[in-house]
Amino acid sequence: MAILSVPTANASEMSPSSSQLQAAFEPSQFFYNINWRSKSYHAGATLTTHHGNGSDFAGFASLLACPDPKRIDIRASVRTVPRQWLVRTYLERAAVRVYAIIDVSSSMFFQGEANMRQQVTEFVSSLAWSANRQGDAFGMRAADDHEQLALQVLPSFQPGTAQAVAQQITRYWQQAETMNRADGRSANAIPETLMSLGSQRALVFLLSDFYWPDALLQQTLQAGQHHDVIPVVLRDRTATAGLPSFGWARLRDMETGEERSWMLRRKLHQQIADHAKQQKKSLNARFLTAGTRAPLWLKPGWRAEEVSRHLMESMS
Amino acid sequence: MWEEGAQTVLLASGFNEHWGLTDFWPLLLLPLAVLPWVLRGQMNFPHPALQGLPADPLSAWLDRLWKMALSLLILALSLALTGPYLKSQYVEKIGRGAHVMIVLDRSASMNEPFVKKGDDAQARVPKMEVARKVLKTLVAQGHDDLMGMVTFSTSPILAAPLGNDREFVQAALDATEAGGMGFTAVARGLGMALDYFADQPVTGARAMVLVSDGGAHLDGKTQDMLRAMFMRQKASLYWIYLRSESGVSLKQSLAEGENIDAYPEYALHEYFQTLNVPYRVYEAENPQAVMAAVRDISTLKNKPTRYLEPVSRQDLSQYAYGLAWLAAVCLICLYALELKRWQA
Repeated sequence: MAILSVPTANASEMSPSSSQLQAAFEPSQFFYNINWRSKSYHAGATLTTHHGNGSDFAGFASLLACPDPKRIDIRASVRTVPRQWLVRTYLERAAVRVYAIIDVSSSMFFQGEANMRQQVTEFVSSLAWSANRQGDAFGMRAADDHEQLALQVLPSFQPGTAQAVAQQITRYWQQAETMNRADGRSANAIPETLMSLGSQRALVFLLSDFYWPDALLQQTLQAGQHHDVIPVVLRDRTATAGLPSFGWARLRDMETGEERSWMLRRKLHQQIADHAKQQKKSLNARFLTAGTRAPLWLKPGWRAEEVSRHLMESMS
Repeated sequence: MWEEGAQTVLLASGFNEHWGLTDFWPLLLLPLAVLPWVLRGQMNFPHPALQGLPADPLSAWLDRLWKMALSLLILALSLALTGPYLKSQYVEKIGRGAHVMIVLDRSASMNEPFVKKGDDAQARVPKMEVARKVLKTLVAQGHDDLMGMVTFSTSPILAAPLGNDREFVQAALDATEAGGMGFTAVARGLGMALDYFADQPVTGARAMVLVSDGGAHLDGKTQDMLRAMFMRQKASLYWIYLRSESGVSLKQSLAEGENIDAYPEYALHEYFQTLNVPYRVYEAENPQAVMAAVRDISTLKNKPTRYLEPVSRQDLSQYAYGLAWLAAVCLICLYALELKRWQA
């Protein structure tokens, strides 16, 4: 289960911090359930609407309609008037597509207490791992102002997907640092990317900080309407909490480049904290009314068990 | 068209008439004041999302204050570099004192010692020194008075014109330490002093303070002329008579049959009494007597007098530097307030 992105023979000789950094890509497995029917025919774990060789009871059918003598139900047949042979039918189980849509806009490059990019890498590779383990196809898209093709993974059942994805994302973050992507890029292409997933219903994990303008959120939710969307909110709490207690500072918005000065003091701290709380509440409400699953607020140092619990408990 | 407009504005503001600039090139630096509003070089911290956050007026004003202070600093410094100044001009002032013209005798006889009852060597000071001491106290008092000074020996010299400048008169008095010489031409000295009243409206009491030991003979023609001048200028005369050891006292009248020409100071006294203007004589036998004269003169208060006082060219760049200082202090405070690191 342990898949190291860069397995090195001399890992023990390295300094503890760097070896820790590389070993951090160990994907963990979490579970999700799906309460809608898959329409695909690839064998998997999700219930479908078509009858077949599964174990989920669907109903009775005439032996003539469904000529499978080994599934003749004698009790049911005896109760019929006029007499006929009834056969039990079952539903098949099939795979679904699981997508990770990553917002790689500038605000995701915020350096705070939590390493948000590391969190994204970990979560997505774990998701790929978990999806493949459950027999589902994993695909990935990413977008800022444009869709980032470097992070595109078409849905696949390949066993090595998790490792490949981890490497791909890590490489992307490294390139982004040299290409100065941490400035002036918003998440405008996210709705488009969601549209491009195709008409087949899929389980979509939408990873973002959701520091979005209302219009963009509206568009995104609309675009994701016929998918099963799970918003995964990654927010660094140092952006609004744990600010320096007193002092004057200039701040620059990473996406719009807007500058603002903050005279930090108790009143403003209170305002910012209130606003953050209120924003969280309103974001939750937006997701609720849009019919997505309950958003998953990913904290740094998240554990697979917590994610599983959240996914199992929240139904769309 | 632009040049004409600028010219009319400059003329209306009194450029070159009331004020001017020492240098013009620092005006080229003025546009630099726009820089704080245009440049984005200040240190800032990246933040993922600012749009939704509540606006804080105090913070916005602090930012504006920072920019304004920077602009002000640049403006004030470049203005200070241009060296603006107010040209010398006359300021109308209202005085309430008398116009006092001091006429000081600097003839050789003033070097003689002053009459004194005591005979010790210390008391034998020259009359000139006594006169100077007396006049200095007169000048030091009564700051509303306009004062001028004429010294005379054989011919009169204008030491200080009639005005409010006390320093001038004090300096002129100091200059008399050089010692006296020549004859005593009282008439010419008085004439010159009276001339100073000639071109001015009569707005206050005019006093001539003659400090002399007498010893001058006036012929009839000169007497008539002086009398006419005194009448015309309506000036009163105060004579501080410094009696020398050999001189006579003016208090007691001459004995019968004595020739008045033998006592020129007495003749002068007689003549002054015929001037038809207020006349007083103070016989300075001792400094106390002289002080009485000074007191009398300093009580000469009268109707307010208007006069123009020249003000020297005034440098205005100090105010610009003051402004720059203020702006700099403001900037330092803001810098101290600024966070250098985001993490607490």
